[in-house]
Amino acid sequence: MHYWEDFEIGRVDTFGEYAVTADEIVEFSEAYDPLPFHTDPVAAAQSPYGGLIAPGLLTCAMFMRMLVDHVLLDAASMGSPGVDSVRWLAPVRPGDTLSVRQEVLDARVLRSRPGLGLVKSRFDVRNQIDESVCELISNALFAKRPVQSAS
Amino acid sequence: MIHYEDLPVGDHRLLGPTTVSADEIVAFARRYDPQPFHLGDAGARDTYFGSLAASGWHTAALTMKLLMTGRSEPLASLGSPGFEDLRWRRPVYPGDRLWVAVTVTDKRQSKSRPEMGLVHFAVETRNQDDRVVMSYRTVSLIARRDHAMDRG
Repeated sequence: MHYWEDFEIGRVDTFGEYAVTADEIVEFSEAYDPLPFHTDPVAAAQSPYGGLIAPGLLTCAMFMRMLVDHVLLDAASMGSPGVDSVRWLAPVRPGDTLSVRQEVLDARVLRSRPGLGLVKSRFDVRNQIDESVCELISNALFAKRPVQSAS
Repeated sequence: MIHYEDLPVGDHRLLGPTTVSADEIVAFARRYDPQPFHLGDAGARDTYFGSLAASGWHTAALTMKLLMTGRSEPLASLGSPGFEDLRWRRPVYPGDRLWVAVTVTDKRQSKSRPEMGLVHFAVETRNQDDRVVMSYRTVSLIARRDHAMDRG
């Protein structure tokens, strides 16, 4: 189990492997972001993108799944107050395989909630040719490591 | 179709509502954010949430749905470079009815790509009690009508 103390400033970690499919792009887009270049392969081929691309929010959701699987489910995660910035840097297409690089930028204890600490990280979501497709500066709350009882 | 020219600075719209169900919250979380407090009441009881609550990314996706489909006509959107200062301010619970308040805060024509302009939006997602559950700022690339007519 990882606690706030384990996320030291400067710590770098890489994790995840997420295979992007056309089916998942179309299903997500029809529900949440129904632009033709996300939902319709024929229209997408004629768009400036030249083919189907994932909605930016789907890239964020796929990033979240990798973060949960590889970090948060083994950590005293207490949610997130928010994301400072997200930049979508390159299109995400069917057949891409995504992974994540995390660098801890800041870590501090909350005055208002002394049992919790805030961790600010830069996340780079990268594709199979190591191109950064999305950069997030994001904040997460973790419980501090419980003090061991002397008894 | 709503184009760049149709979005003056100061334009303010309230879009919605959309209602979020427990089944939908759990289905989204199983796929993208399977933390215990997004999967059921039991996993949320001893947390900040108190009972089943939606993934913040689910709230963001529902907000995107209202932004894209909540107007009388579709937005001629060509994508977005990103967003800033996204804050999850309050939990979203099953049965919540969400509205999106969207304001145009700035706009300019693209020099390199005359067929589109950049429109800055301030976005607030509110629940049925008019409490803000999420907010962010974003820029969208929106097609220009005059260019669309040029293309015939």
